[in-house]
Amino acid sequence: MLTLGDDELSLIFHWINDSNNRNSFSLVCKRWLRVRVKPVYFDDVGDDGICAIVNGCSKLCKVSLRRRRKSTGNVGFISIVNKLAQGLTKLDLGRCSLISDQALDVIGTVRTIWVLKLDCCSLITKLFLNRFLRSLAFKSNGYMR
Amino acid sequence: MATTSTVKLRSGDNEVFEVEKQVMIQSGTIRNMIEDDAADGEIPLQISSRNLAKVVEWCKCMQHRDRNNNNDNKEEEEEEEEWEKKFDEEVSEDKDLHFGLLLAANYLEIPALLHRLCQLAADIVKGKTPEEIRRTFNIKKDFTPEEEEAVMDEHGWAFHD
Repeated sequence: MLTLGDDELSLIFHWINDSNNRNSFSLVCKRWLRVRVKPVYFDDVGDDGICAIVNGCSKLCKVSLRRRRKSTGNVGFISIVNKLAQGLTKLDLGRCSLISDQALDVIGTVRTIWVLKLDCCSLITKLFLNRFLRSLAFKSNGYMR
Repeated sequence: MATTSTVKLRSGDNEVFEVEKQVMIQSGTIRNMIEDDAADGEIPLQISSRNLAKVVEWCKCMQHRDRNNNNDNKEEEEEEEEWEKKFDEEVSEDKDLHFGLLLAANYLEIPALLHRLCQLAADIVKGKTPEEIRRTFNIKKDFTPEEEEAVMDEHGWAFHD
């Protein structure tokens, strides 16, 4: 029997909507599992879209909102923190110019996070960041850029 | 050189299919070659003659359907539906044909055919346990017991009602 590539398997997986069937798919073999857990990319997502995604994907652990300059604001960010607080490990907010001090204040509630990127977030003030860094107990292997 | 209205496709096992360009422009790959004037000679394809014949047959049927879309000919419409039903049955019962066509449709960039074949493959997977899927698709389980346990921890609930 011919072997399908990851590309074709991924397209087949797209047609499976039921979560039981999707999970059975994952358990077939390592390759099928890899196709199942491939990263998902969403373009042009605003705050409402982010809220919908985190409501439906509560086990997300790595989230990148990099360069969502004018589409991602505090509302989207806070919904990520609230919904993913149990497992979020990496969050990239680089160049999200609508994220402010007020939103960043809630990140302290996420105990699992060990990478947080905030480069070029122009609304986050130095004063707040210094206070935030002092108060935040990062794990020893965590870092901040 | 005069531009012909047909294109010649050579299968992996050296069978040549001469098909109207209007039929084969459903394939993004062939359409690009026609637009780039690179389809005047034979186009060699790594697709078996059996699968290529089926792809051509499907493209002809879809072109015929699209051409007659505005006609209210019930008889022709029923014939087309019957053809599509038979196509689905034939593909679902023959995995070599199914997978061969899936790879061919992806390679030739024929979205409608690709979607149809993926949907049929997904229908085969639905409602089956991982073991049943492995048997159906002739796949060997390659998880170690430890790995399987780790995946089961994550997805084990899939087996319970």
